[in-house]
Amino acid sequence: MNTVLDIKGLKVDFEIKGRKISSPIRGIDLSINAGETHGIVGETGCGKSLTALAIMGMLPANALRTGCISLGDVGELTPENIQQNRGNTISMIFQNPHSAFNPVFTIEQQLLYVARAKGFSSDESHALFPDRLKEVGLVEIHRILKSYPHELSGGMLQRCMIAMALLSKPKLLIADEPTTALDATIGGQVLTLLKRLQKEQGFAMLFISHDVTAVARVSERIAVLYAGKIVEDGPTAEVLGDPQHPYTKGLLGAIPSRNKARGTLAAIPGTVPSNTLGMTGCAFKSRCHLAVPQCDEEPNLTPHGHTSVACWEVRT
Amino acid sequence: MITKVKAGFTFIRGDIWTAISTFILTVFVLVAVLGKWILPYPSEGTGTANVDHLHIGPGAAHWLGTDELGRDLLSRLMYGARSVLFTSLLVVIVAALVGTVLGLMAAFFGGWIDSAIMNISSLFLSFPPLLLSLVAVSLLGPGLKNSLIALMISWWPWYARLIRNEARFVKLRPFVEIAESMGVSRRRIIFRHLLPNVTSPLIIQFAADLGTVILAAGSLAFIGLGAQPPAADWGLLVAQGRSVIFDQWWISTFAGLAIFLVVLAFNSLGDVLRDHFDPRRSK
Amino acid sequence: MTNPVLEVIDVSKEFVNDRNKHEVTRAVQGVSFTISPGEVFGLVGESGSGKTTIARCAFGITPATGGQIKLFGEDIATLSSAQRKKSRKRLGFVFQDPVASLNPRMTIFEVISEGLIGASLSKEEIRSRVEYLIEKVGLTKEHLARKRHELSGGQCQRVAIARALASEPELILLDEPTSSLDLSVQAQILNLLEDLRKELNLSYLIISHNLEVIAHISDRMAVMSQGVIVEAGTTSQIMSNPQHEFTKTLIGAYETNSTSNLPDDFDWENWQSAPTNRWAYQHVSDFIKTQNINPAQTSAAPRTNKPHDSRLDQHEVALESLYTDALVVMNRGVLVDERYYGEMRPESAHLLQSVSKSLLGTLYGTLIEKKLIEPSRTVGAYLPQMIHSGYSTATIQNLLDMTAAVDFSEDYDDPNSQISQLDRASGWRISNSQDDLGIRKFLTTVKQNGVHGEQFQYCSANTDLLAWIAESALGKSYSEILSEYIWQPTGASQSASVTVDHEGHALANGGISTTARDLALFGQEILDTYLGKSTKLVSNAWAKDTFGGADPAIKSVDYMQAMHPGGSYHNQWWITNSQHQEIYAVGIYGQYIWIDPATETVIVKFSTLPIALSTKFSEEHIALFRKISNLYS
Repeated sequence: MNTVLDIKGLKVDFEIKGRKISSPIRGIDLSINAGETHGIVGETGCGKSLTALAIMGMLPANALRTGCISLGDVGELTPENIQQNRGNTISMIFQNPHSAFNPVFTIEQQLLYVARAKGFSSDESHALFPDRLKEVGLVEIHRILKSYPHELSGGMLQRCMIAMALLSKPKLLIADEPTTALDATIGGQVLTLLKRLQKEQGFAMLFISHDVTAVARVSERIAVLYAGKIVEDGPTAEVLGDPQHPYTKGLLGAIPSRNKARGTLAAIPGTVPSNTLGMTGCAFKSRCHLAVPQCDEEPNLTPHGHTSVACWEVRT
Repeated sequence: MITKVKAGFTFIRGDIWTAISTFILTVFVLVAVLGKWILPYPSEGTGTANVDHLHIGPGAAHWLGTDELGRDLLSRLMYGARSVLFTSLLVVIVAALVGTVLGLMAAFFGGWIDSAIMNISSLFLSFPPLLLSLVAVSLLGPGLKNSLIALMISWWPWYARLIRNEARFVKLRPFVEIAESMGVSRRRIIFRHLLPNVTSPLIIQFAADLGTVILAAGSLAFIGLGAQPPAADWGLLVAQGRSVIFDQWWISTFAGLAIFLVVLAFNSLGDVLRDHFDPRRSK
Repeated sequence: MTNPVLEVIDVSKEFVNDRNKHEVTRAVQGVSFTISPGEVFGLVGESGSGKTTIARCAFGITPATGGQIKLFGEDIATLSSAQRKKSRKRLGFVFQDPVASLNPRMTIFEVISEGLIGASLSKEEIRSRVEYLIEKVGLTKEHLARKRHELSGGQCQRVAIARALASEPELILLDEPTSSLDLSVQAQILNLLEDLRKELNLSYLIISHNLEVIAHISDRMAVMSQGVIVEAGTTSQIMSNPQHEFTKTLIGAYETNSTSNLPDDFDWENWQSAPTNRWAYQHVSDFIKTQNINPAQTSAAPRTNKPHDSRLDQHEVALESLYTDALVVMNRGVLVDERYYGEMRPESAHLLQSVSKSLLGTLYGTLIEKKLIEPSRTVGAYLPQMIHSGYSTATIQNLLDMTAAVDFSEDYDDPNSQISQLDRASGWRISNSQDDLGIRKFLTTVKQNGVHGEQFQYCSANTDLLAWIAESALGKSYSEILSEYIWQPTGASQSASVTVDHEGHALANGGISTTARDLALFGQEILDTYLGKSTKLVSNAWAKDTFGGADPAIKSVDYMQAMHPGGSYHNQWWITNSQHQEIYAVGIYGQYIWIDPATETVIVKFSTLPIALSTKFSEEHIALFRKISNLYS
């Protein structure tokens, strides 16, 4: 197995004047092989977007990152080498395609800018673009190249963003909520596209979203993130079909569906903690109906069949 | 009370400029309010000439010297502070009131009301402000009262346009739409929904304008169309010292410096308020 | 026929470009739908579909360009401004961005009370109403003094809901009410909306781009694309049997893996008959909402071997001609033969149709013995809602023996018969309006036609009414009651299920599905009870009374006497009064439990006959069962 991304013990703290003010990521271990997609699912404040930024080396100035992030052949990603890897061996696509493009430049101009930064000459780029745009399922290539971002629909722009991200044939693609701002049918097409491109090009993908259905469609494995830690991780079918962790169960139970009687959606009491600083033990214990005194000690991810669960109440 | 004062201090703690500006403004307001009672040379401040002390330079007895009629300049400036502050306040308050009401109407009703108000405002705004005041004063005749009226006439369109633009955005916000859907009265929507949500830009503009009006009023006085002698208006003092600027430099200089400092301080206040009300801050 | 709260009739909306008066955008074209009281109507569509525009026109926020809109029966275009104001008070609004929908300068108290201004209420009345509302939406009085920046997104939306409820509206517009909320917060808000709807009898028009939300919460829905409705109907119909390509694509976008289970030729209108019924009877949960009837936790694992009695092989031809899906025979308490045909397996659950009634009859035996129900009491005494219906003075026993005299036709082929209405009410057939939905609602409309207790008249609705009474008396759902008193004691090894209507009420008269073996176990229990060998379900006295037939004073019917001279219908079982004293349960299209005490034989047969019933099929079945039983005499 060809491991592309390997994260061990990732922790991110925010500090002001040397004093820690919050710990949005409290320990993440994750690895993704080539050609595989690992999904991260969680609600607002769980730290999923920060994880992406941590990998990209784009954390805010007052963030303190510990742990080891390594990328395939490159080895460990450090502040020194992250600049040359960003947009090169690692690419990222974002939620709002309109905000990823400069409104005063045409698509062609922006793609050119990126291509030149990668070392392609002008001529090479112009030869390259039609193929790349066709790859992402766009048809009116010439019109799109000459268009400004506001002239294109969300779905088309998202495809352009994907094309731009894949220009350098990255080893790892990070997708942060790529379909959240799109209509369901368009989003579905983008997901199918990503899966196809992954099969053709063999990159590893880290897919981050609060939309469980979207994550399930593209990921072979899913990690459920809560308050900066992974509480359950495993093959998608198993995590979604037979969830073990009470938070995962609550999250899945909250998804509305016509097969659930009205008024019976799982409603986890309480709210996500806004700051875990000073918290001891399991971050979920105050909201968990299974909480026992042992939960005052933080449970680690332990294997349970094919999945891993961080909960004392889950018997192996 | 204590918490409000404490809040006030954190408000101004910002940086050195803010501290200086606050200091200047505090002094200015105090002087204006306390007026006659703290003048070093009360009678001279209010206008009585003192022929014996003509043209004395800055020194121990007269910190800022005396003017062409022998009156202590410091006292004159201090006495004039009152008129400067109050006239500025009057102009800005009236302009803001009129402009805000018209701006709210234009934003709320839209259509021909909006077009009418905005077109009239544009008409006024297309004149350089001072020119407009000049024209008004020429028609009305010189004097403090008329210069104030002229200033009010030229100032209200700024507020009308500012408030109208801000209020239009507020009107598009969901909570206004819902209020309309629920059948809330028009008056209530204008005064309970639109107005409270345009106060930030209003306050910022108000603070900055206080300084600008001082300058404008001073300019009018300077060219003789504003306050008339023996008023202690600072612009007037600058004018009066103009003819003797090379010999008795202190008259125009200190009067001009006073205007400069106060206007600068008000502008700083405007900046501070703008930062304070910046939506990103209140997240 | 209750008046709809909203009628949208052929409405169109065009937008004219401000700059270029010739440029016209048709946001909505020719849209029609109605919303009835207490109904949730969902509009789903993507951006630009026109769903928000049509909702705004419907609620009078934006004027429509064409068509007619009637709110509470009045055309809104003809209302004076005073009438419009009154009409506004009956509406409520909840929009997408919960934070932006609250005025940041107002306290929560002011936000909620705004809708009450001008309603000539005193300050105290306003305060107490606001306090009532804030608690109704799950917040506390402390929140009233706060401003919006002190509340979370979910809390803000609760405030918005409280505001919408202030004027005691009947119809609420919810435009993407949960789209900007986290999943778990969304679940809380959706649950809250349902609780409020039930308690305050509200109607909702809910708009969303999220199909899962709409499918979860709506009774009926419409799918919009590019300004028109491409498909409309009940949520069950559309989700399980989408017709339009766009609907199918939309549904597909939410599937994580496989697509719908329904076969391509699934016929929604005629699934009970051939050819669809062959597949449908074994997959009822795939297209109708069901609830599980749970077996005991510690139920034994189902046996893996299938016993075979070669003496029954001679009947294979007959079994085939009778469209058999499964045959299970037990003799003297032992499983002696099991046969499965086509797709049917031992673990396949099959629809029982009216055999379901006999489970209820047995259940009532227990409930009456436990003194939880009193058979001589009337329907009206148990259910105040039924006091004005034709059932009001009928007794429980009347219902059990089908001697209630009601205006009810069991003609399955007549779309206007009461049984067809009941089918529509329970979601078994397509309905075109909200008024058709709801078993309980239908039951209240049944009229009396004669004197109760005199004449046998088979009427399926009687059983559903009995289920309602049982739920009311025990305070649990029918599926839970059946599980506790029948399914668990029987020792069934697999869950059974029962179809439910859009409100979650079971169709007791025919909606149960079980495996053949479990049903045979049930039949065996009945037999053992009669023989005095067991009292797990009911007492020997009940069994003796049931097997002995109904009160002879009751007038029978010709078809009964022709098939079973001296026979009767008692406690929801058919009593043959034959030499062997057999009793049986039967459901249309060929479902049977046959109990022969003389040979101690129990036979269960599942079939999918091409037609509901005929004398020929009935006679052939009974002849077959007797032949089989006689093998064991």
